[in-house]
Amino acid sequence: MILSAEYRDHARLKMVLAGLRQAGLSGDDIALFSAKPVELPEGLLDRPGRMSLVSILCALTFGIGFTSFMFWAQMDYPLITGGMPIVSPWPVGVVIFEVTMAGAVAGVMLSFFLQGSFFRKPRIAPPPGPRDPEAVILSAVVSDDREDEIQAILLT
Amino acid sequence: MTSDAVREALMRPLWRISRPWLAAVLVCLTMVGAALYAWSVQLSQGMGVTGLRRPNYWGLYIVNFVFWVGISHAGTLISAILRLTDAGWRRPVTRVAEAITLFSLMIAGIFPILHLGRESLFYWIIPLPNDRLLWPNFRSPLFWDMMAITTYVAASALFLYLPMIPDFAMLAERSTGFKSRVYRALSLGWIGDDRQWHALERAMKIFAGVILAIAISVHSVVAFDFSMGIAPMWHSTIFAPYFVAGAIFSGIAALILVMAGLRRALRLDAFLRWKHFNNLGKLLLTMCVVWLYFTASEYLTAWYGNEHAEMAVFNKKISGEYAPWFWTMVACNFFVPFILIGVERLRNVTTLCISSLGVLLGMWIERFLIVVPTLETPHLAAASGLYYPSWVELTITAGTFAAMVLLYLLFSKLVPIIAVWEYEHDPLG
Amino acid sequence: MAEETRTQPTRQPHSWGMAIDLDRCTGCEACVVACHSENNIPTAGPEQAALGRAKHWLTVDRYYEGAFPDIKVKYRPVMCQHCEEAPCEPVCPVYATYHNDEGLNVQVYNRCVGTRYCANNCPYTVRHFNWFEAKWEAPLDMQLNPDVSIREAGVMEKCSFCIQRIHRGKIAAKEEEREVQDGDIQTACAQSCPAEAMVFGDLSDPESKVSKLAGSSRAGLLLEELGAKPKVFYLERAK
Repeated sequence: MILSAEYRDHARLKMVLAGLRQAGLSGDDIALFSAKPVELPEGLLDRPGRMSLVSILCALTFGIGFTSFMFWAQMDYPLITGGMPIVSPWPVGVVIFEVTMAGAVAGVMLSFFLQGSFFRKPRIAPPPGPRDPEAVILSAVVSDDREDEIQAILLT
Repeated sequence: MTSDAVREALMRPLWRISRPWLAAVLVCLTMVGAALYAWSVQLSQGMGVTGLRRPNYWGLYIVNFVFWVGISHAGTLISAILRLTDAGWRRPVTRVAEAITLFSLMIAGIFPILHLGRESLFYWIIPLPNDRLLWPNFRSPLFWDMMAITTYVAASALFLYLPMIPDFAMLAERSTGFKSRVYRALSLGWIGDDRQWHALERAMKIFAGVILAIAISVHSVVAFDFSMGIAPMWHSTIFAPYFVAGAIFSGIAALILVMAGLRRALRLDAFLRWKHFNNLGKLLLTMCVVWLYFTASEYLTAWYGNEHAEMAVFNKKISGEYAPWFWTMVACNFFVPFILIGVERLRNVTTLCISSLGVLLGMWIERFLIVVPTLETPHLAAASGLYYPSWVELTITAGTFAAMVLLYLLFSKLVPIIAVWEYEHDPLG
Repeated sequence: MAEETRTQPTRQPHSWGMAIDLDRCTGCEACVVACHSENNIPTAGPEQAALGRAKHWLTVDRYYEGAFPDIKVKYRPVMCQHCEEAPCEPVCPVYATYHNDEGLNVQVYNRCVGTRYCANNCPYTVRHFNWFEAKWEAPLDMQLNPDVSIREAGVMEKCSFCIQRIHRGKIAAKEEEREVQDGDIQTACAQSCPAEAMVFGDLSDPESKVSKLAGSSRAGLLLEELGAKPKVFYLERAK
């Protein structure tokens, strides 16, 4: 079941979170709902993501893909202009840079939607009703037998 | 200010139509309408209705294109660079700047299509598979332009949109009916849990770096349109960094003006404080000196080299027909900001706005002086000619400025102009 | 498509060029008139000409030397130089202009979208743009050359070394099962010059008249220092 508590004091929130982690709850079982991002010390509630990696991979895919396409298209339709070689690195380099950057953007967006679970049903649903924008709501998924124990930690 | 007061102040302008706003929108719509009419004349009669001629094949449209791409660097500087350096004072300014970037890019993107002889075929520059198995020329700087601008527009739109998601969710909660549904849809089901916040902050961090790289490359590519050509005084290696520096310069000026306008119109004095204007003013001062440095390098090199074709263009600009323009540009771009901002006693919001207006005017003149005198004096002197823009070009130019104002007027009514969540995040910012 | 079927020539492909003898040119501009009528170039009219839109694929530039009473006038016909390394070619984003294997800088009207970058990059300013739809007043509309297309508004055009005449000459030679001889193909300007100052021919043929003139000690290239490798040789006695 899901237990929720509302906190206005940042220090108290951190203490409760530390307590919950000590009690053995993993990061997947805890969610914080707030109207602005909450600063937490490292290790308390880390959300490992691979956004940088995804964006770099996407960038490289776009870049290499487009380079291959350009190479093929230029050789498919080889016209001499200005005595330049059919495929030369200088002009091609400019385009590859742009496409690589576009790939990085696409990678970031993809990763953002995946990491933020945007188009899936969230594991811990947001608490219903109007929320106080100053407060942070902490929701934890606990098994029934641990309900009292976690409740106690939340109320410290 | 309490959180509620902040939210109230930032959401007050939304959906509230006042008389001055309506009047401004009507004026802008009229000017945009006139520009559309001028465009229709050009489409039906041909490019001959412009002032273009042999040898001036590029004119006001290209000047405007480069100018607007330059303005778009406002957002890049503020959002990207200041985000990367974690400068706290940027927070109320980021959305204003990012909106300037997107809107000016949207306007800039119209001009390459507008200046084509056969506009409806503009898509031939895009490498799409087609029946005739034709591909564009990847070696052409205009192709690089298309790739660069497209990437930049997409990236800017997303860069503007991402931090608006939490605000859309908040607006969805606080409105009803159709508006609520639209905002809810735009918020993509944002629930505000820490996973999403983390993803958002991470994305913005990476995005800032990527968009900085894109922005620098975009204006370099626009500069390559000129510097790759062998026309006298275009074939200069300094053009790429010169244009990027000039873009940041004009971007900051545009940002200061928009901020001052918004502060007055939306009564945001508590949010856009002197600190923000002061810091932007100092950046403007820095860029003004950098601009002078690049300009001096460019012209000194041309003069010292004494190359025949280049000197014809050089003399035209420094002491010939374009001398009044040139020296106005130097005054507006260097002397006015240097004195009004450099002398601390003179520095206030009003003088900052005067400097910014001067810079915008000076930068527009600079783009004009890059495009027109070179084309008027080609290598073969027998082909020289004078360029006068026609009413079509001038109307369209005015219409695009009105379009920018119009887009901003509409934007300020639909979305809070300062990111509520970002502002609250650091109220001391 | 890039490949086209053609019969293999028995000798190397043509490399069309011209030699213009400036010491013979009288500045009569018969070549300009011939070019207009051969290539369906409309006259711009007085208002458009005043705006700088006079379109002449071939212009005869006039240069004045000295002061009164020792003035000399020099004439130089300038048309597209069909440069081997033409600066106008790589900047076209849609491949509307490229270098074909006969050494011609070809302009494909159908492909041009009218960015006009090529015109800016041409150091000789020989490229022209169609500002309006071409119009001929009656009865001039009945003297158009059926071999040459009429360009629509918004496309670039320039001297093509009368490519329609080149094609005609090659087809005639193929029908007669012989090679193209020097003098078979003449551009309209070269054909109409009363002083025989303009010679057109195959620069890859060492026996052709144009090759011999190009090798003369009086021969030089216009704006040679820019490195575009033009193929129009101007002959003038050096002072």
